[in-house]
Amino acid sequence: MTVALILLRSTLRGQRISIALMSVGLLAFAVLMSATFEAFGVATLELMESMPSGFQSLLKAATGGGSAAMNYMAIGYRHPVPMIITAGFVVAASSGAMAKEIERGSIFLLLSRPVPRLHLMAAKFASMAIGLVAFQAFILLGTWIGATAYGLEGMDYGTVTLIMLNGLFLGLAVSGITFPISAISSDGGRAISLSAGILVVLFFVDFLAGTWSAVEVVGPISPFHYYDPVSVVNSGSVSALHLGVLAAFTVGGLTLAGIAFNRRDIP
Amino acid sequence: MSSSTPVIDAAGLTKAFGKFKAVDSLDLTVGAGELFGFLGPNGAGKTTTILVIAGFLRPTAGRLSVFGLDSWNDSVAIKRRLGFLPDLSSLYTNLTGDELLSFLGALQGGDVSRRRYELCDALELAQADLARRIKGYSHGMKRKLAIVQALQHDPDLLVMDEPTQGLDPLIQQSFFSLLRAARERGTTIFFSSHVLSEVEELCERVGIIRQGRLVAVERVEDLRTRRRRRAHVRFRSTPPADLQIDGVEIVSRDGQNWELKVGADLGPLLKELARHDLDDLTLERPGLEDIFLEYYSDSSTPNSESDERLREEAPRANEVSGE
Repeated sequence: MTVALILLRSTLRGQRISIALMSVGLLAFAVLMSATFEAFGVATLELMESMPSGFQSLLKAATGGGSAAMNYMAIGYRHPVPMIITAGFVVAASSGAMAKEIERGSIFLLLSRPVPRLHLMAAKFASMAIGLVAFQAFILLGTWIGATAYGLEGMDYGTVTLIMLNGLFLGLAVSGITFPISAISSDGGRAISLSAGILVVLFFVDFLAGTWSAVEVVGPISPFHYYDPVSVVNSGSVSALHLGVLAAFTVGGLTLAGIAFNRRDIP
Repeated sequence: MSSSTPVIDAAGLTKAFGKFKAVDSLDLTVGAGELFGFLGPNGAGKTTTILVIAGFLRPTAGRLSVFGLDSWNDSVAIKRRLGFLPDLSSLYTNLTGDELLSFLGALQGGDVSRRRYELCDALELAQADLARRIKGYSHGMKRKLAIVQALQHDPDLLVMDEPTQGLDPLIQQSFFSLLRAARERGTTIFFSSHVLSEVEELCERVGIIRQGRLVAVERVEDLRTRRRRRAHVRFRSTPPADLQIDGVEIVSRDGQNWELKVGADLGPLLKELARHDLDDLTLERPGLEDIFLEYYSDSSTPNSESDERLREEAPRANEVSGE
């Protein structure tokens, strides 16, 4: 087994409980969304449609295609609960990747072996990516369980899968921001707080850009700008541009992280 | 690497953090199979030097090669032959001792299980202990585990930072035996310490570092020979008012009991003392502690704070090691 695979297995082992708990939580959230459709779904969609179009775009809830159930679920996928769980996991996993290992001194045990630093980073990234795939898979599973159990009509699982793909790319793009912070930091707590702070700012940049024309131009700097489940439902496809930009966030960020981690001192 | 190539070869090695030079223009070679002690008080630059050797820090200036390879650019190749015991490290406390050693052994490559069990036996780490999670280990047990991980793959070079911290005296002796056995197999050992007695007991050569600068590299034996001995004199009759002898310094006088420092040539002192009626005369070979303090107090750059700390630490270090 290669060094990177040994590290991946070990990292996954350390994260398995948190991945499992968060996956179950996301599954439960998706089931709950289906369960609440009958009670709130139509009223929620009517409320959204009655809002000015600017406000609809602010909430990324400008419905216009697909079934009512699909639109309701799509709005749910951008709910703060799944967004915070996913972003929180990415922040914790990426700061734990390097900064926390340095902070607690365990990096000296790992990197005193013939382990290239980039292999360590790659293993940490792969472990986090596996967690994100699990999250999206459990949201999809929860959606199917809930929709089946509560008899939601007009569900299109091909489109839901595309939304999950969009969500996966968003999670990876977030890691493109948090990994470089972890790569240059020697303090896990500081890496977490800095990463979380930057993500909150980027989330609000996207939020404000949807409503305030003066800052509209800065909207595209936020990765959250490129995650829009309702528009996927409306068009029946996910924007290749959006996926491309999110992929660029990931590749660019990881490249920076790799360069920084490979060159830095580990004191 | 030819047999004459030093295992560690530093030339003008400097490591700075901003304007602060933690290691300054260090020149040092350590040959194959040598047991080398690196001495200095806390903050002198020992750990920084060790982290540069182990490829964690990049030299700011100068050059450091290990096995003839560049310590920074070829660090992965060097680590195939390196055993490293850091000063302080976390040991993944959710793993059992056995899991941690297997994990680190797998990263090193090769089968290390047989050697691991020999080391655990020598350090009295029982199988039952290894099956427990590390979070329940005492500090001493964690230290033993850290020693096993550094030695289990039979490295060609063993680099250790303050390796005996937290070990009781009996285990310390077992550990020293392991080091001597490793050295007999040809392992080069470089370790830092401020416990002078253990360096004196183990090492052939010693480097003394102060404020990032190497102030001496000598054989322990040469240091002792060259440096001044301590003489304890008890006069039977009234002692002389003074002793004016080249190379002899009166350290203390308490009635008939005098303590002197004497250079390599004892002749003039003995000639002078022969003129007096003595009750007792004992000569002590200088301990490394004396030599160490002398190097610190001799320096042209005064550093009263670290000298003071050193004086405080030296007797404690001897207490720990049972002197």
